[in-house]
Amino acid sequence: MSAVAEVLWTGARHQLQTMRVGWRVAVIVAAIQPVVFLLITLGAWPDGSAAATTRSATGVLLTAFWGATVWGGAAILRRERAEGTIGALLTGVRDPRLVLVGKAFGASLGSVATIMTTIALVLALLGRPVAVAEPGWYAVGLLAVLASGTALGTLLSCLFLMTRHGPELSSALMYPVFLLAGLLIPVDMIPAWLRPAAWVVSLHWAQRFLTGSAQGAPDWPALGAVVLLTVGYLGAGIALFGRIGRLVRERGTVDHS
Amino acid sequence: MAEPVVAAEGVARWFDVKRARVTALESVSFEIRAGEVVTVLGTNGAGKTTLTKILSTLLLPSRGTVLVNGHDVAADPRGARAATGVIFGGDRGLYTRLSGRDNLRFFGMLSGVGRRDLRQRLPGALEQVGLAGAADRAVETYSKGMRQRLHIAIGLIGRPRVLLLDEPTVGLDPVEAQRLRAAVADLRADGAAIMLTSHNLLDVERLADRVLMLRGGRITHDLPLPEFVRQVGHTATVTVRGRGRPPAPGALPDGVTVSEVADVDGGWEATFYLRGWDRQTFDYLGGFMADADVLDCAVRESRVDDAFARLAGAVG
Amino acid sequence: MTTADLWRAGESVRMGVRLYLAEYPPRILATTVWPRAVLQCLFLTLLGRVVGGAEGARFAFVGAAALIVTLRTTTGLSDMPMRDKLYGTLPRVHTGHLSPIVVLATRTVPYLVDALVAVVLCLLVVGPVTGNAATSLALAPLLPLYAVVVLTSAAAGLACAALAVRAGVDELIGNGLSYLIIAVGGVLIPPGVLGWADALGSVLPIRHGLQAIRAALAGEPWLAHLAAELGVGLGWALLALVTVARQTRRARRRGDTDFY
Ligand SMILES: Nc1ncnc2c1ncn2[C@@H]1O[C@H](COP(=O)(O)OP(=O)(O)OP(=O)(O)O)[C@@H](O)[C@H]1O
Ligand SMILES: [Mg+2]
Repeated sequence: MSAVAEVLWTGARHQLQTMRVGWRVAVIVAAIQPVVFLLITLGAWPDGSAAATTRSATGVLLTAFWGATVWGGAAILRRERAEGTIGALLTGVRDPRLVLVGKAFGASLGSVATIMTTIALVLALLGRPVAVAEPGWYAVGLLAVLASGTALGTLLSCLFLMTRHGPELSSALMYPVFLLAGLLIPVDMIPAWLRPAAWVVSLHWAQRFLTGSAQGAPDWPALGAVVLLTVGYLGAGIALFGRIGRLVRERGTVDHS
Repeated sequence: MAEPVVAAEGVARWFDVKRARVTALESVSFEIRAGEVVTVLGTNGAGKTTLTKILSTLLLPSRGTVLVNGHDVAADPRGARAATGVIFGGDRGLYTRLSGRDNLRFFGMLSGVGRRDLRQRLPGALEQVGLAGAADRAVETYSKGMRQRLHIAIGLIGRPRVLLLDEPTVGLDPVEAQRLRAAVADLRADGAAIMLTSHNLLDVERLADRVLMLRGGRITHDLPLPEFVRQVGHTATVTVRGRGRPPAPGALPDGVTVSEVADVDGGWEATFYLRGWDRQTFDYLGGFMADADVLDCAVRESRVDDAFARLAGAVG
Repeated sequence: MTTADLWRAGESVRMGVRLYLAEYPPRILATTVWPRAVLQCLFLTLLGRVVGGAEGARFAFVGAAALIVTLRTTTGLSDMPMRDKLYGTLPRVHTGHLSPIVVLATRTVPYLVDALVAVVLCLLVVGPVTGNAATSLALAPLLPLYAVVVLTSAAAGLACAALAVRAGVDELIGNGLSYLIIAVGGVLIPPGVLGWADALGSVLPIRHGLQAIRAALAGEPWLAHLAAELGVGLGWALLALVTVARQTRRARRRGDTDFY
């Protein structure tokens, strides 16, 4: 068990180091984006209540986190390929699946930390208090978000490896979730027939659980849904990664483009 | 003799990198006349590419002047460029996602070819470098040699009076390299002034009228090709192999040196360096072989690489 | 300018279009690039409704339709000057018979056209979907004003991209500028809410142009706003010009043009 944890952590630390060096997009998405969304949502109500502020801040957190996952976590393997290190990853002694999951975890950890710091700073600057009735459960919700981001990063990372238009796909994937997952735009503003789309997005349920916890009424089924979906993403991601590993050895190439 | 088309006078170039000064060229002067091929030899980092860049107006000299077709490369780069074609070695410098034809058309325009001329020359230029069949494929699907040929077509499409080639045969197979040499020879016949840098000494042997040897940013030799080869100090090497006990070389006449008499499995081998062929040398070699149990004897003319290795390696 | 110069510029535009289509084949334009623009516009319009009701949605829609041009201008152009460095074609561009700034400027043409296409798509799709069909109709005759915004933001994008080339921070600068415009460009937050944002926004492209569009929609005089937008655009264009000219000279002096 401790060996598994060690591989995971090594992967995570390496990813965090990579992000520090190649910080460009990470900075934009993890720092600038929440600032902009906060200004937009809070600027409209210069004297909104603490509850409204908390709701907006949570929505901004999850929105920016999705953006960061699509740009950061999902690009892990693509970067490795671009730098020619993916072969070493796939043929290393350590289980490559653990390394990948570790890296996805590092990416999620880095972006959650950056986004939360940014949000805290902006709220402090604007002098807007937040109110969280159940801080313990809110923290549990954040951990679930972190796990979910890790699983999504693993899955998308494998998916994007299969195409050479990864960046275009990233930017095309970003907005459907922004629009449909009910993070900043309430689900009831979306046509009824489109609403089920949000059900497969773990962040949608995370949003429910977090705002529920903030208001003192944690939504347990929502937390269950986050956990289930996260396990599903992770399973699919690892299966896909195994398939890629086999393809590499069959074709002798990682370029599926 | 014809007027020089390229005239470099006291050209120096240094780079200031983090307070340290790297001197690529100390002081270089030479001329190239119409219909002449000058090859520049030198070890890695000798300053060949720097010199090519200066002649092609990409880089300003730190000191000294270069006239290309009568235009100063520093003061009148446009005039100099109008007369110059450049062929880069290696497979970069092309828009790889576009076709060879698109590349040639764009760079032809950039090198100053007019609309009508460009339209007329394009098919022939592609044909000439054997790319007519692949002209509409993306360059990223080209082999190294095909990319190099495209560079050649680009360098030639402006019908330049001055052609600069920096390691043009890098990565080419012998057939391709030979094709390139033929193209350069054609251009020389048309009266172009050509400067070529290369590590491929076959290029030098086949093409060069004159050899410039660059060392430590200076020209150490500027000689006609045969003279350059002769500078190595001997014109031929004779290797004699035999059986039994090796004979003693005895007293050597003037102009003959022997490197060694080595034992090789069951026999011996002796190598002689000859400054020239004369009576004395014949008599000596005849006497040597008459006394020995000779198996075979090989004669090899001295070549450019002997000269290059010797001159580049020489101290001082 | 002679006819030969015009022909050369035309050839360079043609090359720009080829390079653009190689980078963004029609398939990719249709399945990812344009949908992304439309979805972003839709998202921002809905966000406008969340924070400001129907009026907020209308305000945000007009702004978002202008904002999405930055996808092709400030963001899209950010790596364009870098392209020649990557390909290793900079030496030929620097020694060509067409000034490097003309090569760059002509290569932006497909980006400009594409940006305008995105605006039209947003008017066609997002307006009706969000109940702003009437606004879309009213905006149609104002497309020339959107075109001005395309030009001015392209000038800013080019200037920033040129400045970023040496440091290799094109992605950061391009995206950063776009987010800055969202934040302080009067796109979603009306001018006058934050003082410092107004000051910063007034030197960025889009802001004054958007004021002109909003004024024209409301039947108010808008020429002064247009003039301000053109002034800002001219300033950025000059900055781009000076930057590229300086870099070309500097490359010859220092020899830091990637050769081959
Ligand atoms: N832009 C530059 N900045 C600093 N130093 C440079 C620069 N360009 C060249 N040099 C230095 O000038 C010297 C000559 O380089 P140059 O590229 O001309 O050599 P070369 O003869 O072409 O070598 P090679 O055979 O390896 O191509 C080298 O020491 C090199 O490091
Ligand atoms: Mg060189």
